[in-house]
Amino acid sequence: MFDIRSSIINQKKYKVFYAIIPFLALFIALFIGGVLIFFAGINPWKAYNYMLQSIFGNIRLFSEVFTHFVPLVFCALSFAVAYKGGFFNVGGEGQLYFGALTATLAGVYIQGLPAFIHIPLVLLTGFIGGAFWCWIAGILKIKLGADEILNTIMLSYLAILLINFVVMYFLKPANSYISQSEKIAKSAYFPKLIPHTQINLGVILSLLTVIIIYYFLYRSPYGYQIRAIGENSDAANYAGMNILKGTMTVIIISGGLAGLAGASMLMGTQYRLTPAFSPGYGFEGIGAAVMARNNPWGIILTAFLFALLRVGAGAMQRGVGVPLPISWTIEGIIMILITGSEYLSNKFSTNLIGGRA
Amino acid sequence: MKKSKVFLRVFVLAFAILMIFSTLAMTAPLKIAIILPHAITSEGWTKSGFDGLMKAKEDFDIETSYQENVSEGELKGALRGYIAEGYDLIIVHEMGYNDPTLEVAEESPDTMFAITYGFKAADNVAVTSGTNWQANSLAGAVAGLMTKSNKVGFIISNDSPVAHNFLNAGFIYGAKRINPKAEVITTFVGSWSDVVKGKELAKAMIKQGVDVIYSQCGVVNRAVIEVCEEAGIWAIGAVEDMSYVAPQTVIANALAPTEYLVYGVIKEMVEGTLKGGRVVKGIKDGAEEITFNPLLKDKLPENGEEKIMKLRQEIVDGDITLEQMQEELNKQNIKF
Repeated sequence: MFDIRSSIINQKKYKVFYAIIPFLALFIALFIGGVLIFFAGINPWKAYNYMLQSIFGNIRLFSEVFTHFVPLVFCALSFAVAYKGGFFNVGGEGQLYFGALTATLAGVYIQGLPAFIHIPLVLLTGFIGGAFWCWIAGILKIKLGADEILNTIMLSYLAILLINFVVMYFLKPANSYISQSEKIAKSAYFPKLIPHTQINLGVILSLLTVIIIYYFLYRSPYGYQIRAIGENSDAANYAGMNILKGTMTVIIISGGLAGLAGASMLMGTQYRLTPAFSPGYGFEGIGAAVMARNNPWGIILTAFLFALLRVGAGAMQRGVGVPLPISWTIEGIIMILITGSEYLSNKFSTNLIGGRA
Repeated sequence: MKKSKVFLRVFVLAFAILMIFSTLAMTAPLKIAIILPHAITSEGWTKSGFDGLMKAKEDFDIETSYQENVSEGELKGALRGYIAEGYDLIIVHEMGYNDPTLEVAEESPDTMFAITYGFKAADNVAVTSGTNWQANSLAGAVAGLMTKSNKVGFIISNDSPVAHNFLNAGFIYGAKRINPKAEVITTFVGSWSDVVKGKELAKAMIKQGVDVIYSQCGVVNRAVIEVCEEAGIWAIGAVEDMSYVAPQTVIANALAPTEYLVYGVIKEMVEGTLKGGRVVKGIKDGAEEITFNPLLKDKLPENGEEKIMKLRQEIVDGDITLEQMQEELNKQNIKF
């Protein structure tokens, strides 16, 4: 009796510990980053102060955070869904690019539609594009047993180069010297929620998607099946679940979400496809998902944090000349600490409650 | 009564101090920023632009800031950041960022913008550009002059319309002009900083029999020159004087320092003459040039330098234009 109670108490403690870890990691990373900034010859206090001031002191600058937040949420969800279903999709970047390509086609070449039809249409084509690119890696895994980590990451580079080629030789207006597609139709622009800021429909869509994915994964029977497959596909098979169908669904949703990231960037901020379209949201999304332990609600926080760091890195560089690599180092340290803490906390819990958590 | 007088005095004093500070703020130095597509350590294009800003900082009373490694997705945020911080002139050092910059410039008509090597300007957007072809065609001419195998190599960073219509056309024209038998092999690295790939491409060229290589590709330039040094063939430096990298290998330098353009824009801004619009500067204005490595001048063939200088003079006089060159190449059925 006493044993069970103490283990429950420990589990509660353990949960608190679990929740604190990311914040602890953030503070340690900021501290180490501060030391690095100090050695770069800049007052770290001034740098961080400037960073906070420039982000939160001005609504227009604050709204820039959302230009990074929206694609990061989609990319992180993309990784999280796949991870829960036992598929390791590290090619979000490529799927983002391919989704952006198909969305561009629908945005540029379909003209004259009202916005309430055009926006969902472009989003849908973006979803299909990303899903298709992920499906290639998926079908290779299912039919041939090819490793999806390798294939998704290779397909990423393929997609980036392919978009480079397509933009240059097919999408570029004939009289332009700059390698970029034409602008998408105005009817496919995300309407701005607050004028003169970057807060647009994409923010609502990304948050809605988080809710949908949460209910799908944790509250629907099909989501339960998918999680069961991800945990132990043999057991799921024994329980009579259709493994192939489940995995395929996961692949399509995961790729589609990354494609939506591309479409939302296109419709929310950039409006045209260029060869260097994404600054690595696909890869950073993986970080955000891992940090949130693949929990959709957590992803909102971590994606926001990563977006803040991105805007903050730029602000620190502009204002006090902190070199960009230092800001990247801070981000890297957060990642290392989080993954490291996962190992440590697992060990900690094993010692404490005999590996039952 | 006395107390209120003290208050009055303090108030007046405070007001005076405030006035002094506000006039100081009004005569505060111009705030000038540059947005760079790659790291400032990236030799050639990016570093040269950054050097222009640093040089201007020494010469004029200005406050400067830079943001490096700004990708397409972060550009608008960086621009808006500078606008919010009250910068007077924001220089965007990448031609591909032309349209997004114009869009942001429309939002804030009081701020001045400049784009190096851009194509489209506006009332508050000044475009300052080199010709993209004059120095390159002279580099081609030098390559045509020096080759013995009649095969010359040209390494370009990204496959783009500018690369084809300006850089490559100029280089091929120059090479053919001096040496009609010369065959030009052009390859694209696809990056400004992929040193390993650049080296591999240079080695592959050398295997094909190329004996002069001109690399116009940021950090890769240095690596290509090193490969040329190992293989014992000629190299031509780009953008900046690269002779110091391999004094016995770099025969000439096709200079097109973006430093000059950036500095020029800032100078005009300080003098108050900067206006929106596109200005193209070439050899005539001192924005581009061909220089020979003084250590290797005796290695040039007879009358070699005169031939190059004659072509240079034709370009300066306007006897050769880009359109003529392209037409000429089309007539000869040469793809560029």
